[in-house]
Amino acid sequence: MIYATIGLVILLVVIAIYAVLSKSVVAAIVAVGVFSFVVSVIFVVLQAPDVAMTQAVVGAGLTTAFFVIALDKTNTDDTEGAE
Amino acid sequence: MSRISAAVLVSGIIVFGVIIAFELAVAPRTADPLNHAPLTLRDTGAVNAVSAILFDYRALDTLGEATVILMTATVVAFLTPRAKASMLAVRLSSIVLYGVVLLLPFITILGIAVMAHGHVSPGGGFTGGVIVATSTVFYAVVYSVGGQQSYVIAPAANKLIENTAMTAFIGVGLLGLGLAGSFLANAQTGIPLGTPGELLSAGTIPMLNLISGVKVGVGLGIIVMSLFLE
Repeated sequence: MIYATIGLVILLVVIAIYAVLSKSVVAAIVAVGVFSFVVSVIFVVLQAPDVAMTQAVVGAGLTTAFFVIALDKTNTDDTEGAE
Repeated sequence: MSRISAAVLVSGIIVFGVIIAFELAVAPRTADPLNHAPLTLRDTGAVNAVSAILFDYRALDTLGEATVILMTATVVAFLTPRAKASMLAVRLSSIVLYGVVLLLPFITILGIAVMAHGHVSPGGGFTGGVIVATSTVFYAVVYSVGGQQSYVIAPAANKLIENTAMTAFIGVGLLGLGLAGSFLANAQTGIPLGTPGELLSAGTIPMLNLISGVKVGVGLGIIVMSLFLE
């Protein structure tokens, strides 16, 4: 149980670094959604299913939709990177 | 973003992750946490202790949260001008267009089920409402490609539904005030609590779950659609 949580936290760090450093904005948005999903898996492992459901729905669902709409509104070229 | 700020951010994230991993591995755990489930079952008849706290013991806090979403939806809808929705930069394949038709009824039914079973299983009004809002936003975004505008519910009806649900929440609270002398009272009003675990049990908790689910679903729908149409 505790090793699964530590492994998921390390995975979170890897996803966060990828989201920050990725050149593609769409890839970063998807990475943030995956980040929220892994957080919700951690909540399930820690026996908090209510929070996990809310985290999955709000973080992976609604926030990703917000980011996609914002990306479409700003008309950013997908290949523009972090530089 | 410069290379230096990226390095600072990454190192900060790594330090944060190491601290969390250290806390999880080393920090002492309470040996025997207080089990609230029998107490909430006795007081409210709800099997899900989280729902019992959200909609019975701390129902006033939930009313405050609902007020936050109501205010946000009102202000966002007031400030953003209504324009035509379009996803100009997007070209969707027919797989997406037809897949959404097949998927949406199931997402909506899942949201309603999560709302209705808030007192017996994980979930509740807020989560179910967000699931319903996600499905409506999904529909509107996918079917607004190329200029034509698509709604599930017209914007004016959205606001009417949200205000009605907010009033109904306060009405349930006033019912408790009238019958038991405290705002949002549940078991004290003499309402039958039913058999724990059944769909019709736990007094006012399922009512408040459904009301707040409708309110949150419509409110978040208004927020997202206002920003989408902006």
